Formats: sequence, structure tokens, C-alpha cells
Amino acid sequence: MKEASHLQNSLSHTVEARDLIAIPYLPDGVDGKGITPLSKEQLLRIDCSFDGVTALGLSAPQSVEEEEKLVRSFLDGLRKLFQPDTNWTFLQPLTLTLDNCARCQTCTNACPIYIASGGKEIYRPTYRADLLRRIKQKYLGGSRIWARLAGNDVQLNWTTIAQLAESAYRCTLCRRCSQACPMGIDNGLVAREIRKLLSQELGIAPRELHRLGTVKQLTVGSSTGMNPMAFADIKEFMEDDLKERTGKQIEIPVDQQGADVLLLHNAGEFIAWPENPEAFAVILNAAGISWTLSSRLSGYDGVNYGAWYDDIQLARIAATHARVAIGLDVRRIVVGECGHATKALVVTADSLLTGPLRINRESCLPLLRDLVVKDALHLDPGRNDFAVALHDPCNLVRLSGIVEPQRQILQKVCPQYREMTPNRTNNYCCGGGSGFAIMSSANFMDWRMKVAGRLKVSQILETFRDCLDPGIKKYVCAPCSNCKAQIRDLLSYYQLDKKYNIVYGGLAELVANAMTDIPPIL
Amino acid sequence: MSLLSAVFYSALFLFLYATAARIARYAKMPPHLRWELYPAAPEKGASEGSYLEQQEWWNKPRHRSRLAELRFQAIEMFLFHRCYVNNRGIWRFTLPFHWGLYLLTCWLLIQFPCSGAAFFLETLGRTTIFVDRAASLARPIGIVGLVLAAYGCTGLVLKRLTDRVLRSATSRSDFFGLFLILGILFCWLLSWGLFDRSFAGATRYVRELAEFAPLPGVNPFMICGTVLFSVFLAYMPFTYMAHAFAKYFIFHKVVWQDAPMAQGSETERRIEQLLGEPVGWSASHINKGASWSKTVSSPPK
Repeated sequence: MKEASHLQNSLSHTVEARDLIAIPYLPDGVDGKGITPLSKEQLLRIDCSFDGVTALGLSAPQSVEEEEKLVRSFLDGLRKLFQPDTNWTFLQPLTLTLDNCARCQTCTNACPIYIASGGKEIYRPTYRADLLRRIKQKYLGGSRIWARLAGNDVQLNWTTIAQLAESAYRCTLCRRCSQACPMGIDNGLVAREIRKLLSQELGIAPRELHRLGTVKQLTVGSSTGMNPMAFADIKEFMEDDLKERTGKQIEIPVDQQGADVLLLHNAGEFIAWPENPEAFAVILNAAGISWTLSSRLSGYDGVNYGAWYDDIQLARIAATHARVAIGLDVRRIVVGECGHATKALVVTADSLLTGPLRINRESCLPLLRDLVVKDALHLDPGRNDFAVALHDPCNLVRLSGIVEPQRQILQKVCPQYREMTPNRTNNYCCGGGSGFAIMSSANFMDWRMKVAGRLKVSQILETFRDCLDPGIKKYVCAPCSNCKAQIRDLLSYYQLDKKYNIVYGGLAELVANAMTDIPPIL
Repeated sequence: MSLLSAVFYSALFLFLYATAARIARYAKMPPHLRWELYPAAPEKGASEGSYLEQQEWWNKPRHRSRLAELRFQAIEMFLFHRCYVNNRGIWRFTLPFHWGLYLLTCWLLIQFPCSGAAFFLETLGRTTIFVDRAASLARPIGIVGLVLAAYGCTGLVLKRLTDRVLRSATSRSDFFGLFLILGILFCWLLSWGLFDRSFAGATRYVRELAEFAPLPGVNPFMICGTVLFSVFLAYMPFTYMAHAFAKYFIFHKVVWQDAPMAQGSETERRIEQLLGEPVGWSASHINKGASWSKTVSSPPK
């Protein structure tokens, strides 16, 4: 940790391929190379001294004055993180974690990134928390002499800030560490709060999350860049596609005043996986549910990246979603298959939606479960007679407690449904959590594939080990858009789609595929 | 009162005051955004899930189980289950260490009331035979506690010194705390082993401490152990070693919160108040100085 202050681009903690844990059953030759290093030109501009990878693309200050200003801003932000008027949102959970960690390292054995890296010290869940603790103790604690006596010799300078910042983006916020901790200490929360300090005080955040994420969603309408006119086009496309595939005119209602349900999809579904919102349209129409989408700004995009890095953006987007629903006079918001969108709107932002913004919000999974289990749909599970493994999205399962509905559905519509191990609230993160699934700048994608997603690839292959023959179709069911994006990239990166015929998709598609009143859609 | 008693009672006073202050600090913190983790022990039922597994959960009754909470806490406090599953190497030592501390605390909690009762009975000129018997019957608890705690603490110190990951994660102040406890336990072990095999001396010592008596004839290891224990009492509330109190807040106020904010509740009132306060953050996408409500309802710059 002392080194954090003194190593600028010295690359002493780079991730080497030989250190990573082996993935069983991988096709030959797909895991040979390590993480692509930054080019010489990139190294001149970007700090990657933490581990040779960059998520933020930070450039060093150009002068001593600039560095001093940065350090002062950082300390201002650190102070605000521990004041009730500036960080009331997470002051109590953060203080409890920083005050009471025994550094017993029980959490390290639960962290998928630490495990996958082969036990790399800088990926210990306590590493960044300890660095923050030491900075706080030395610079806000009041006594530098006591800090020295306690062995705290961290220096706060550009390199330390850059490394702390990058370290905060080597955690998917899956919170498996907190689940393992005998005291409930939450090192995932510390990573999030460091991100918050950087964004809300210094304006530092990955562009994919901020400028191209939350800002775009609030100004253009969607983090995908889709504006209301483009959304209208996509809605028409989906209706045409459904007509072509099913032979039926299946209407997708938009802006229906007074509907029972406002369905809020991750807008990425419309662009990358339109079969998912199409499946919802088929299911809800067949079940006679009164529902609608919204074409209002942000009303057709359920994502809330603020949940990962910025309370203000989190609150802005959650309030916008609530206002859209109230404006349409719907009875409830139902969030589509997106883990973080569900957690952000239904759980985390619950306290923020006070007074007139209070509207009923829930995940789509209990609704789908009730339709399937109570025989509201005519289903033939024989249409899904291929191996299906359920991936448990962290935000839905461990962080929101929505564990069984998706299983009850799969047990009904997929005769070859199987569990991964571990599963449910013990699941491993896909490696795309906390925004990683949409972050691919410089060499971050390599890190996301080789380290963050490593355990998930191992799990997928273990789960399908008895049917890896490419002649046998295998489906990874991921009821979460971000997880789907990550699993898509993992399957492609490790060639599991080509070599083993492993495909992925959501849950609604499997339900719709089993419906006998339309032809199979998968 | 002897100097040793004065040191001990001063440290005890500081311990109680600082612990109360720490608890009050946590209790006074403002309501936070929800940050649950599942499975949440109070959720009744076999599933690991939450009330959100019900469609239209706002119309359904929610059941919480106090028994399930207590069961979880008991398993963690007495068996250290999470540590057993995820960190067996530490568990081998932390379990006997904590059991030793629990037994020593039990022994002390028996000695102090017995001492008070004996003092009271003597003042009245009554026999103290039964109280003395109760105090002496508790001696094995104290001895076993001492041995277990010393074994566990020694193991924890050695583990932190020899395990690569633990060594790099343990700071100087962490080692100071552990060595302090080890010093206390070994002083008391030596006092028992060399001067007080029956543990009667320790029993008498606690009684004289409780009566603010001058403590004649106390052996040097008991003196040393008491001084170190007093240092520990004064130091502990300012470190992570006071985690026992924090666990209440961590589990009951954060990870097991597991309930929507009730409309019209005190929490909603407090949060509305906080939303009316100015935002103090400085990044350009935030309207610094404007209220939270105003900032949230305006788009980023």
C-alpha cells in the first residue's frame, strides 16, 4: 500500500495469464494470451499503474499546481463522504464498514475476481478499503503522528488517487464479500462510495457510465442514444417482426393512459435483443394484462447506472421513471429483465421516492411466474427441450432477494433445466456487474473477459460438462440485460458459441417459445 | 482504593463512556438508502428470498421472524459459521478465542454480584458461605476461559505473522491490539500457573476490586495483567474490536432492513427534510447549493 504513492506506470502488479486460475473444459487454444498491454502512445497519456489496465483513462496532472488542486479536491470529497449533510444516503453503512473491519480476509475467499486472478493481492476486497481507511486516518484523522505510529505511511498524491480510482473499478459490486463476512462488512459498498466521491466531487467516472450513460439517458432519452422518435420506429419494427414470426398482429401499446402496468425495459433489449420485449408483448397480450410502454424521455429505458457510481444521477433517473408512470396514471411499474434496473428502482431508490413520487414498483419475474404457474398461458414445455442453465443475476438475487420465481418458471417450461453451482444467493457474478458489461475502452474488455468473467465461464462449462458436444444445443438463461451482454461477450471471446453451441438469452423468450398459440420463436 | 483499582475503574469508565458515544454516533446517523443483502435472516420461510418475490407485494402481508434473527446471531456468535465456511484457517483460532472471552466474561459477571452480595451480608453480620460457594463453583469457567482465549489469541497472532495474505493485510495497530490481548492473557495465565492454581486468589482479587479494597498481596503478574487490561479497556472502543455493538446496526439497520419505506412514516418525514437540504458536492453535473429535490428534478449540466 505504501507503494501506491510511488509507482507511476511502473506496472508492478500487471495481470499475467499464468497467474489466472485454469478454466476446465475450455476449447484448445482460446485462453493462451494475457491482457493486451496499452500501446506506447496510450501509456504516455493514460495512467495504468494499478494493474496495467484502465477503466477510467485518467491522465496525469500537467503541473505541480494541478496535482495539488486535485489532492485538495479529493480531500474535500473525502470529507463530504463522512458528513451527514452531504452523504446522508450511505453514511451509516459506509461508516460501519470502515470502522469495524477486522481484516481477517474471510471475504477474499468469496470474491470471484480475487479467486480468478489467482489470488492477486490488489484484488482483495479489503485492499481498496484499507487504502481509503489509511488516507482518511492520516489526512482527516487529526493526528499524523498517531498515523505514523500505527504504521500508516500512505502519501496522498496523483498516483495514489489514480490507483484508488482504478481499484474502485475492479469490483463488480456483487457483494459476495459482505455475504461471507462474519460481521457483515461491505467492501463492495466501499468501492461504490469511492466511485461516488470521484464522480460527485471531481467529475471523474467512466464515460460509458456517465457522459454516454446517465447524462445521455436524461437528455436524449436513453443510454443507448435512442430518442423518442427512434423508439417509435423500433416499436413498429417489433410489431412487424412479430407479425412475420407468428402470423399474428400483436400490438405493443405505448403511452396508454390508465393501464395497469408500465413495463420498463432496459433499452438495450430493444436494440440488441428485441426478441425479449417482443416475448413480453406476446405473453402479456395473451394473458389479457392491461399494460403499456412509454415513449416519454427516459420512459422507455429502465436502466439506472447511477446505482453504481453517483447518488444524484441515481435519484434523477429514479424520479424521472416515477414521474413518467404517474403521468400515465398507471397502477404499477413492472421492471423488465434487468437486474440493476430492478434493484435501483424497486429497492435502492425506494427511500428517495417520497410523497407524490410514491408509486408501486416490482420486478417482472413474480408476474411471469404467476402467469405460468397459474396456467394463464397455454404452454408446451416440449418446445424448450434442450439443456437450459440458469444464471442468477446478483442484483436480482443476492441484492433484491428475488430467487425462486425464475426457477418456478423454468421448472414448468424447460424439461432440461439445470442449476449452476453455486447458485441462488451464493451465485458468482457474471463479471459484467456495476457497469463493466458496457465498458470496453482500451484494454478493459480483456480484463473483463480474462479476470472478471472467468469464474462464470468455468461455471457455465461445468454445468454443461455432460453435453458439451456442439451437436447439442445449450442455453444460458440470464434474466438480466447486463448479464446477457457479458455472457454474450464471454461466449464469443472463449468461442463457446462456435465450439460448443452454447447460446444465451432471457427468460421471457423461453416462456413465449413454449406458448402453443404461436409458432416457436427461438 | 489502591492505585491499581483507580487505574482499572478509570479505564472502565472510559470504556463505558466511549462505547456509549460510539453507539450514539451510529444511532444518530441519518436514514440511508436501502442496501439489503439476502438471505435476510428475519424473512420467514424456507426460501432465501424476500417479499419482492410476491406479485403486488404491497398488498400482501409481510412476515418477519425474530426467532430466525436470534438463531442466525446465535450461530454466528457461538459457532462462527461464516468464518467456518470461508476461512477455516482463522476459524480454528477465532472460535476458541471468542469462547474464552465469553467464559471469562461469564466468570466476571458471576464474581461481581457475588462480591457485592458477600459485602452486603458481612455488613449485616450474616454468613457468606453460600455466596462464597457460588463464586468458587464458577472458578472452572474462569480457568477454561483463560486457557481457551490464550490458545486462540496465540493462534491468531501466529496466523497473522505467517500467512502471506493476512500478514500484508494486518497493520501495526492491528498487531498492537492482538499483542495487547495476548499480553493480558499470558500475565493472567502465569499468575494462575505460578501463584494461584486454585484460582481462589483471582476470585478474592475481583472481590477486593469490587469493594474498592486496598488489594494486599497481589502477585506481579496479576498487577501487570490488570494494568494491560485497563489499557485495553480504554483503547478498545476506538478500534474495530468494538464490533460487537456495531453488528446490531450492520444487520438490523442495513442488510436486514428488508422493508419498503412506509408512506407517512417518520423515516419519510426525515428523508423529505434531507431532500430539502442543499447538495454540497462540487462536480459540474450537480447544482451545488440547490436543494436535493431541486437538483434531482433538473437535468445535468
